Amino acid sequence: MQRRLKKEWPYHMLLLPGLVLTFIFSYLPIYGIVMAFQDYNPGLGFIGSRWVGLENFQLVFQTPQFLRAIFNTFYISLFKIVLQTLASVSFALMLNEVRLTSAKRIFQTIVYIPNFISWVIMAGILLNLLASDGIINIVIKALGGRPVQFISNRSVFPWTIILSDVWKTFGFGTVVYLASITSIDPELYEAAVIDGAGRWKQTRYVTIPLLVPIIVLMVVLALGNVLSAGFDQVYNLYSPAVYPTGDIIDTFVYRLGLQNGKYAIGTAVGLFKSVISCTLISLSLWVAYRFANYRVF
Amino acid sequence: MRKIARNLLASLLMLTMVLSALPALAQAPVGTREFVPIPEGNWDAPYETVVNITTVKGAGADIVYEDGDTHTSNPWTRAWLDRLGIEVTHLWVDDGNTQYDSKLNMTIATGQLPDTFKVNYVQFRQLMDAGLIMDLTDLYNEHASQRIRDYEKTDPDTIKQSTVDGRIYGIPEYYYGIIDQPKDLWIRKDWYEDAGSPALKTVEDFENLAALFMEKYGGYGLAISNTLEHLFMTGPMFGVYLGNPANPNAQYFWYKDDTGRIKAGIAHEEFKTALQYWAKWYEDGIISADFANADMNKMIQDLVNGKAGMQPHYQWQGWHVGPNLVAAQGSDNAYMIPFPFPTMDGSQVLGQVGFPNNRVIVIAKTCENPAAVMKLLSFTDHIMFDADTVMTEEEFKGFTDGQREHTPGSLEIIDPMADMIQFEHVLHALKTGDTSELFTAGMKKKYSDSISWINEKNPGGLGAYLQQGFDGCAYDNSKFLIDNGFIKRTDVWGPPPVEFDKTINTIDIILNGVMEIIMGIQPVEYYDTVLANWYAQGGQIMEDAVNASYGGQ
Repeated sequence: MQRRLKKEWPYHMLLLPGLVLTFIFSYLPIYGIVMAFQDYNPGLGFIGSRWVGLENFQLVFQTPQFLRAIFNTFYISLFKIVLQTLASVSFALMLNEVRLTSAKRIFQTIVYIPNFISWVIMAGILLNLLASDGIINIVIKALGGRPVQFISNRSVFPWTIILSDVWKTFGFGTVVYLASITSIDPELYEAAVIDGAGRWKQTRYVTIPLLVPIIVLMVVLALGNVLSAGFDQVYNLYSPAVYPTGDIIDTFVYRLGLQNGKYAIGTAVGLFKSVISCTLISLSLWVAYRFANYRVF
Repeated sequence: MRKIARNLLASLLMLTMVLSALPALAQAPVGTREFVPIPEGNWDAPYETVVNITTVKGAGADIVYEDGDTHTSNPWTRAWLDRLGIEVTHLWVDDGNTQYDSKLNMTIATGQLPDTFKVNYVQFRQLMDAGLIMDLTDLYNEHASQRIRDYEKTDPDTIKQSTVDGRIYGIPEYYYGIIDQPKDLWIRKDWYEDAGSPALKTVEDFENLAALFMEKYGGYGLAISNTLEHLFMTGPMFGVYLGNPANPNAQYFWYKDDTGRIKAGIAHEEFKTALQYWAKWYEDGIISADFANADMNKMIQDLVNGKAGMQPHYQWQGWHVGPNLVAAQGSDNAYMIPFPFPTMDGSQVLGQVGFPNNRVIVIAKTCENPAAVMKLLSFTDHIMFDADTVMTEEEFKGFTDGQREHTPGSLEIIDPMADMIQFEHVLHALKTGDTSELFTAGMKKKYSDSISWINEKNPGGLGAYLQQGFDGCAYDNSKFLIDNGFIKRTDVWGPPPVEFDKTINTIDIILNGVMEIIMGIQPVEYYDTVLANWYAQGGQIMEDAVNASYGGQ
């Protein structure tokens, strides 16, 4: 052990700053959760502020806006996961059929690039593209249709959020699934060819079944973060006109806690979200282990 | 070799981490933090031993310093030290002044309060509950200048909001005067003149002008943002008076209805009339089809790019939009001028005046030399507003150029008659050329800025010119309303009652409903449902609270 430590101490030193920062900024502040159960007064601090029990939680759960925010969060997140998976898998399958390696790499890079663009920039682009006089509506009008309020119509807004996020992030999933496809044993395809299977049947009976474990794993892991519907994206695109369908837990807490200074209530909502997320993540990891033999440790 | 490099890198990273955790090497304070006897004499008698006072502040992004000066080292800080023997140390400065409240809340939570700082009324209540701030009554009466104490003659009610059981715990920062409160309808000067400078007395006149602009220049008519802050400014056109949804401390404007009950403007009957017209404007294209997506920057961008020619705004519109508009359009005539809002029947519009004081100056109980704070406040007032102040041109520029009149931050106190007096003298000087009565730094600055626009078309002076520089400027419009009593003053002359803390995001209910009605998704009658929801989810609590606290006034 000592000899090993002597040999490996530089690696431990490299890890140490990260561990210390994580402890200071992620573990120590956990004590601040007590704010959720107080009528928090910064002047009195955590020790001196009045204990109110579950009053903050009662106040929030009696607010229809919050309950709607929970529903919107699940709605947007679940559809994002489903559509992202479909898009990623479909594109990976199509990319797998491209024979020219350079072309394959070019397409892969092109679909992956939006993943790196900040939502602040992307929102600015979308607001211009989807405006009443933006290019999308110009095309719609040219085809004889009526302009669509993609950003300010409460019925359309959730789908604007979902589809724009799918477009931005499906490239990442494509890379994962493509890597998984390329690791499939070629002998299986050869056997399929011998049995008379064309490209479509090879895809249907060889590729997809062998892709299922990684798909399940990706979906299950994504489910663990279902309560994070994309604060950056929603915050930069939403407006009061679409609060009923576009307001998610994070944007609700932002307005409540930071803009209006109600830190205790904001903490209560954040705590609720953390408990649910923790439960979902634990469940998803168990399911991933059970069905895909994936373990974190 | 590789092993050595690896070990070296690891050690370097460790050292970096340790060093980053050390406090910054700040310059040691010159002044003492211990108690020093208060100098005999007036407020301007300097300390013989330099005392150190700590503070925090938010600083606007438009403040410009010269010759290597900074927010914490500049003509003001040097004057405080040289003339009063007070060294002011800033524990932090919120550059851009967008996070001041959040940072201050964190500072309060650490328990390490600066000696003096500005707080909003929620923070004031919290600090009072925590017993962390000093009783200022004796200090204020004995060591603040007479000029500051005379502010109460102009506004006797505001200081009462920070007085508890007859003792003063916070000194209001005050404001430049209610002259800066009424809003105007700002219109492109060049477009208006091209249209023949038509009369603008009625809502119909406004709609006709907007249609004319749209026909001639394209785009839409009235620039507003998606917070509805600017659209709500048109409330007086319909006899309703509304708050600023974008300001958490002033989301509602409260005044009595015919029964004597204080209600928020959004609960008055006239609000539905406003909704009808706003919905019609949206349908007619006077309000942009994309207004729900337009934040403040987008709104200004549209004006600068000539997509709209009208905007409801504050008296400082000339600074906010003017220079960029002139530059973008390439014409010295392409700025916007203020007009009183028209009304439905052409009758006199009323100017809306809300409770104008946003913050109070408090002193922590741990401060050993609180009299020094009184001296600093008195100094700010003396430099900016005292007619008897004598200073050189260089000193004047040092204190006021580049928006540096706001450098004092938490040590800035404002004469509530400042802008009314200033405007009268500045306009007189501009009309007659007689500058002998420009006796405050503020007057000189507004005059010189206006002259720089008039003579040199310097965009930096356009804001002052539009605010105070000619008959029909923003302050001229406001002065007319004030002098003739054409004012709608809020019946809640003070901060929101503490019961408001039990409500959550009630304004969202109103904003969402209003937007749906404007965009035609719901009919105007739907507002009855919106209002009922608002009352059910906190509106009733707020209305009962303001009537209990202010109903007897």
